[in-house]
Amino acid sequence: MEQLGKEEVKETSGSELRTVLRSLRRSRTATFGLIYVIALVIVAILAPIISPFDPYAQDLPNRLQPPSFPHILGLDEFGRDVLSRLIHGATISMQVGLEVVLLSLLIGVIVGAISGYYGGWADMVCMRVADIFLAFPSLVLAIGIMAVIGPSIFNVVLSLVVVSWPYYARVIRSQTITLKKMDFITAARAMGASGRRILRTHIIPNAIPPVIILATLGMGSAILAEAGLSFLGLGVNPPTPSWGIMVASGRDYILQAPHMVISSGLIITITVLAFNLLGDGLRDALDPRLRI
Amino acid sequence: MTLDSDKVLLEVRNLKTYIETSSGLVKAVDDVSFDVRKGEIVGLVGESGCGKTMAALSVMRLLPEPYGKIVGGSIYFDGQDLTKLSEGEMRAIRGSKISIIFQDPLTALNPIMKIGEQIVEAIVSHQQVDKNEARQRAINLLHSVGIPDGKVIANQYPFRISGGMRQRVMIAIALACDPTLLIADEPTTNLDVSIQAQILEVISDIRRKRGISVLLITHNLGLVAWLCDRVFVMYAGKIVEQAPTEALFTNPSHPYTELLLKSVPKLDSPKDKLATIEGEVPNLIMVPKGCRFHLRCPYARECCRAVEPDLVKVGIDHYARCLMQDSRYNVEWK
Repeated sequence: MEQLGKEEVKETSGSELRTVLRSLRRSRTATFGLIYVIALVIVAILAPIISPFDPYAQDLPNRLQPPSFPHILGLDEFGRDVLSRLIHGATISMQVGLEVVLLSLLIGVIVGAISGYYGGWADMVCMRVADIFLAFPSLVLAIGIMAVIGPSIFNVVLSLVVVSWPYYARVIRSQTITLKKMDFITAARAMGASGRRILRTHIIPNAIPPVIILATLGMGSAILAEAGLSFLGLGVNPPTPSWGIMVASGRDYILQAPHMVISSGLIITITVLAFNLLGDGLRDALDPRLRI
Repeated sequence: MTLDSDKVLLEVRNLKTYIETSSGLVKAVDDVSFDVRKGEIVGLVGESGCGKTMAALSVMRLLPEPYGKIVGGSIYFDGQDLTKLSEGEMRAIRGSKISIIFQDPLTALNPIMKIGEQIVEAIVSHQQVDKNEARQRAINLLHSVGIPDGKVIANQYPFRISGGMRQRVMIAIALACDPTLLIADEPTTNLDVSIQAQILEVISDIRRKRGISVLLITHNLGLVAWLCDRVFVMYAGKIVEQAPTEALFTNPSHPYTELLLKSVPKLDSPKDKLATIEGEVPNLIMVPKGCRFHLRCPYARECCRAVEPDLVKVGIDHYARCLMQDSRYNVEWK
């Protein structure tokens, strides 16, 4: 070991991100997921600049126009440009997905780590609460919450966080229970580290990688759930362009103008798929033990 | 050794550590007393399952919760009874005054944290120093345990370095806050023989340079002969013999020690068959009556089955728990 090659040294002292990206690139499906997600993020951020038309501008005489130039994906029932609405819809989807995942992860990590590490009554209370939430079918619970608090983007995020944090909490808790029995935790305790310090520096960082895949999958399902709620009229308010609303309104014209349902339905499917593929790829890439 | 070499740093008195298991109460450490003086390397020797690791974990108060408990005795460290301290007070001692290194250096390191950060972590958990200074000290520590390329190794993850290197890192972490006592629990068991020697060299070196006391837990008598000043031999939860290393090797006074010494392979002995000790360590739930070793002892007599022997003085600083050494039992022995 004394003769560690110079290249090897350079490589590990380089950025962490680069190593992860390099192992991601080894899988073709993960690469697709990654590129798609990056593209979607860029589209979502630059939506006002790159969308060819105003997503709210109506052109009633040409309503339901099939794909043609200059409206590449056609017009909807009010004569609005479908492509522009999909692009603006990406902003809504990404925003909801990201907020839901980050907030659920935050709650899940705190609750899961405390209940797994300390055990006893803290564990009992946290996990029974999680069980209560898990006992409901999550979309039905979200629909119920939305019905009570009314449709808006903030409320969509809120209701989806309420139904999804227990999944993160459970995974983090089981990770914590496994980790706390490991030798390096005993070794850290033997060095006089406090419970809080052990949780922060040893347990949570080790418990996060397995949750990354869950979080990436969670992005996909949050986007799907938002679309679902909006489809039912319980999510984002029209005329805000949301993919779910677009599928819902396209459904009424499925025979005369199938381009509306197909384009919005397809983008939801591909987006969820891309997040799932990326999640799988990340799982492999984030484990330093697999990166030799 | 220093002038106050006679001063006792760690004194374990009549320690009893019991472990609750589904099949019964295991008396892992049963009325054990031993001591470590300042600047001394003391060996605690015994077969697997004789309770030596539990004795070490008792000193650190790191017994597996909630099953392991210290049920009696005292552990005086620097005049303070560790068994009476609160968890918070104990935490202040762990790592800063007493450190421990474990058998498997891979699992004892956080797999996703760079080595340098793990040493820094150990430093800042007890001392108020800024990150840069801590980093510099980490590199110096790596240097002092025989890793000249400290800067490079500090940037590595544990899985990228060899076993011997990892154990050096563990020692560096253990030394991070200048403890006065280092407990080494089978520090070389998982290493190659040539690496073992290097690690022992490191341990003996830090004792010499830092005047640190070491409690070395091992089943390897060769290691003891090489490194230790005094030895405690443990069998089935009890100390059966204690002696200065020299005396133990020249005049083993307990049959168990004698057999242990015979079962160490030597270059100059005939290459036919290695001596073994028949049988196995007794179940610590149902400890045999009388002497705990009588079932395996070649000299066992009737009285050994009935009487539990006391530690008897057989020489300077040399005690053995055997009726053969007890003048009250005048039986024909060999």
